Amino acid sequence: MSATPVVRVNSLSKSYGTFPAVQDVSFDVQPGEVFALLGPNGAGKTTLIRMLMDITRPDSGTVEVLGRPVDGALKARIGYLPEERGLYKRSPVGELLEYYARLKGHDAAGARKLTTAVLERLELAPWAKKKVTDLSKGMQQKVQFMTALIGSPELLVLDEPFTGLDPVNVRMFEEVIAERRAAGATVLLSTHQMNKVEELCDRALMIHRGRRVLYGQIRQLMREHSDDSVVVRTNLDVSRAPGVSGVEKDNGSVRVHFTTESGPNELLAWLAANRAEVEEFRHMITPLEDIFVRVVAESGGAARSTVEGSTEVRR
Amino acid sequence: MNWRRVRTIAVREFLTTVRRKAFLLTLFLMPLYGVFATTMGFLPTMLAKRSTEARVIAIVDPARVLGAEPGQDVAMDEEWKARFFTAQNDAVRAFDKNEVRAILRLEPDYLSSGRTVQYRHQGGMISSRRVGPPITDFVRRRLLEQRVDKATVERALDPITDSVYVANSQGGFEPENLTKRLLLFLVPMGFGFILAVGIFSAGSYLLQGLGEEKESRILESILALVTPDELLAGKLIGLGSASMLLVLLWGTLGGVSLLFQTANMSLPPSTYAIGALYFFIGYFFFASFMLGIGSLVSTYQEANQWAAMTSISAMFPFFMISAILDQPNGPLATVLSILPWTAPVTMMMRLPAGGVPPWQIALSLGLLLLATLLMLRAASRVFRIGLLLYGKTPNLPEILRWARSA
Repeated sequence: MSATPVVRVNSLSKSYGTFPAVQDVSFDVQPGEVFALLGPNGAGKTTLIRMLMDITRPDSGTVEVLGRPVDGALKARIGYLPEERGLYKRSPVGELLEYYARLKGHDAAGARKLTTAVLERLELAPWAKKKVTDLSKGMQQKVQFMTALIGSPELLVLDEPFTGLDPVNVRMFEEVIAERRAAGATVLLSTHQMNKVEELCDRALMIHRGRRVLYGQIRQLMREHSDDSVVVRTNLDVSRAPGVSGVEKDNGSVRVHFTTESGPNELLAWLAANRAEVEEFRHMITPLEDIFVRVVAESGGAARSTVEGSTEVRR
Repeated sequence: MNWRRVRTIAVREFLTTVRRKAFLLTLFLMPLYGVFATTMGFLPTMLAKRSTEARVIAIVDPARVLGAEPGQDVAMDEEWKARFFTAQNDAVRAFDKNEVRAILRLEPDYLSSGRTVQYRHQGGMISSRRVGPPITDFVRRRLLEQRVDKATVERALDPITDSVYVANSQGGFEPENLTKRLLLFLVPMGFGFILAVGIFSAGSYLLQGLGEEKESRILESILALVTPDELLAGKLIGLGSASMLLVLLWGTLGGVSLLFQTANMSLPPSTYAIGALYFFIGYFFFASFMLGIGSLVSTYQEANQWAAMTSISAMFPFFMISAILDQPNGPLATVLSILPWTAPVTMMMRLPAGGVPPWQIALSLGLLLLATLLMLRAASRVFRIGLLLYGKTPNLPEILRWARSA
């Protein structure tokens, strides 16, 4: 990863009184990737995002976005959907979006044009003149999403974008995120919906009690937190295969565990060499949600984190 | 600070404020209320003049100390007459028939004892007060006319009629101008009032707007686009402009109505210039204070309470208005016009009276400016931290720590 990161966070800390909200967190987000920020409630995600957006100032550490510290001018290049939803309730939707576009530095004509485009993309054009308060909750969330999207920002920071949406709108949000990514935008996504993280994201950072506990490629994290076992349904007795340390019978199938020197590839080669009839061969990967729960439980004491594929233990 | 963003925020704040029902009501109803209040002041007199009710007082004077014949009607003033009786019963009959409004009985030993008795209808505080002075003056005049010459009566009733000269700013004296005397009362009142209402209404809108924004949780997405200082500046300028609109309209209306009342309205232009300075700096002083407070409260309702408390405390000079106007250069007026919290309103009351030493104006403006800069700085710091606080309102030591923090 040689390109300049879109987000570079170095040893960031922030306390509220005696409560440490974020402690010595470092990570980066690469151009064009969809990056997940994970953590249980109260882990420090919102504080971290606010420091990223220069809404809250850190006690120590540095934040760089798009190659420099965040300032007023840079904010126009970032689209932010906060978890705390809020809109000017009495403002007409179109007027509100134009206001956001103007704050991002566009002139009146440009702001109108951008507003029309984003309203059409999110299928809310007929509601442009309606007041926010007249819209349903889901529609209001779409408007909030539009305030982040307007002006095609280079970095999108989306905090719980799918909360409260119906499946049709969830699909629409996913499509828009994919479109923005294809257009070159980078996305930082904070969500508790682990299936969405698995579907959409490349890498993830997980914090707990303000500290980094997981960080890296999502596939790699999942592999690392899996025991590399496979589920096989075959006519041969796989317990006799070399490198197999144990088997568990599971509803007609067999779950196979390996010694540290062996793995699924060796078993596959053995099955092929013995001309086995194989009905099922499935690599068991622990879902991200299970990893999340396990890490949170484990990191009540020591915090474990993975950096660029290696595993380290911090105290 | 990006001034383009500040302008965008200011324009929005201005438009949102001037479209508020409360603003429009204040803008148009306040002058109407002024007209209404003035009219109401004259109404009792106007109604009394139009009344067809008998404006006759019965005077029962058995000793005839006032020298009138029984049954004789004597004018007390342009409105009221006195009808003389020697028998109480005759007066009571006239009262029962509504021929007389009240009865004044002078006891037979009135000259030595001064004892009188009044009989009148229940209630009627206003009418009884209206009737009071002409009777006293009338009795006094009749008593004197019976005993001394006419010229002495006139002198006794109106002993001091000389012209009044007042000290002027050139160190001499000039004839007192009654119009100017009226102006010396009306102009400070008007100036102080317009200034106070202009400043505090804008400050209140500011506080309420911020309360609404906090309640609707919109601030986080706005702060992702602008810096807290840009938001603060945009709000101050936008709402200050809305307040300026109020002041200009009321000031124009007030000026025009004063011109109607007197052709001789002449205050030095410097008074208006200094007034504008006090308005400008005073607005920023109170508005930044209210913004700081506004960032700490969680709800619209809480914001409203603070707006009212701030306005009432800063209107303190109005509670002292008689003392200030009585001695515009006395110690109370001087101290209040120098302290930043009360300076804008008090100085505007003092200035039209004249004689305010320039050093006091300079000191007062200087202190106000300094206090405003400090207030803006503290507000900006508290604003940055307080904006995203919800729920518990911080205590004073916490607020002071934020105000001092970098």
